[in-house]
Amino acid sequence: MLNQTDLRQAFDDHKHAVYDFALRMTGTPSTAEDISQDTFLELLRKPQSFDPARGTLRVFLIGVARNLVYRRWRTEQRFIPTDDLDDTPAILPDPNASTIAETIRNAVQSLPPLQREAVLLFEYEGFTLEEIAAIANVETGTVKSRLHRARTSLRLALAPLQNGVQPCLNKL
Amino acid sequence: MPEQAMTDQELSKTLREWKSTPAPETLDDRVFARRVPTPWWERLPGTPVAAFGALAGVLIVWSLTVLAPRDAPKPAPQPTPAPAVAAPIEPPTPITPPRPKAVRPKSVPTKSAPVNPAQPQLLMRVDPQFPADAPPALMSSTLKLYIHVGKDGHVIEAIPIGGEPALYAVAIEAVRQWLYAPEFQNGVPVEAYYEINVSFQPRPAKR
Repeated sequence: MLNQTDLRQAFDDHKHAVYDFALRMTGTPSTAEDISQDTFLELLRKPQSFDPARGTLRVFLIGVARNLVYRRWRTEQRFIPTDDLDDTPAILPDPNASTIAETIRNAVQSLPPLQREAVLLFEYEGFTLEEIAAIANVETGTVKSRLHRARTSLRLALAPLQNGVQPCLNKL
Repeated sequence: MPEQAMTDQELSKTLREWKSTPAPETLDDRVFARRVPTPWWERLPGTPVAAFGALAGVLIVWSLTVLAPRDAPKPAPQPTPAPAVAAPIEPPTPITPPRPKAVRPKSVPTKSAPVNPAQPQLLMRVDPQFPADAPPALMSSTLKLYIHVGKDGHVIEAIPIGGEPALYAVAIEAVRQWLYAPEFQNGVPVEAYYEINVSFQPRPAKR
């Protein structure tokens, strides 16, 4: 059971990771802050829901944040969970991006949500495939597949960066 | 010439150009301002023994100041250590019969309306008219009154709590016409309660 000191420590240790994940998933700072707040309030209200035998606290918190993101999207009817193996349209380079970071952000956020979360958790949060599978509550093979498809899309969208094309030149 | 696709390592390196964003400081307040408040006994400093002692001290002080009746006789002084030099024995004072005290009216709200220890600022005063049938010896006497001042500074109620009963009526009649500067709390005028002294000054003889 977590006590007050543990809860404060958990917040200090993981608040940036939770917020960063929520921000990259949603793209909106205010929404990311709401998600982060609700994630830690969930831990404050029901600390017994964290079971160390099922994974680290970071895995648990990111999993809560992920579920909250999807719940919010379902409420807003922005995202209806579908099989992520469905054909998805190719992501084209964004001609309006003014910086490399903006180009990457637009490309990642154009991915289907389940592929996006796989990329975010693997590339930015540093989780292993097994941890991502635990967070998303799927098999490891499914995570591998999502990650592969996401990388294929991103390679296409970010190819101009590899060839040394600066995003700002696209505006000329 | 066909372009070489990015490897996984190159893609990872490229993706990291999108830097992470730290959580805003407001998140701390949003999370911990809404948590279940810590029970008061956990916020007391020190050990549980110290906390119990502090609580007992607060209860003792509260019982002495609130529960003790005002007119109760003072407790006998505690024996003190004898001084090095014996004090001279004072001659016995003649015992006089106790003067009847003014009875406090039951309507004095002592607990629900705490008396403001500060004296209010008097803006307008009407001198009490000394009763013609009162003994001249009371000409310089002083009354103690409990007053209830409204938000506009007017005296809503005046209750005598000490002094010569023969002068109560004229004192109340005069004080009810007095005007005080209203008391403010957070910029808002509020009703207040005070204990004031009303003196009857002998008027200078007319030439």
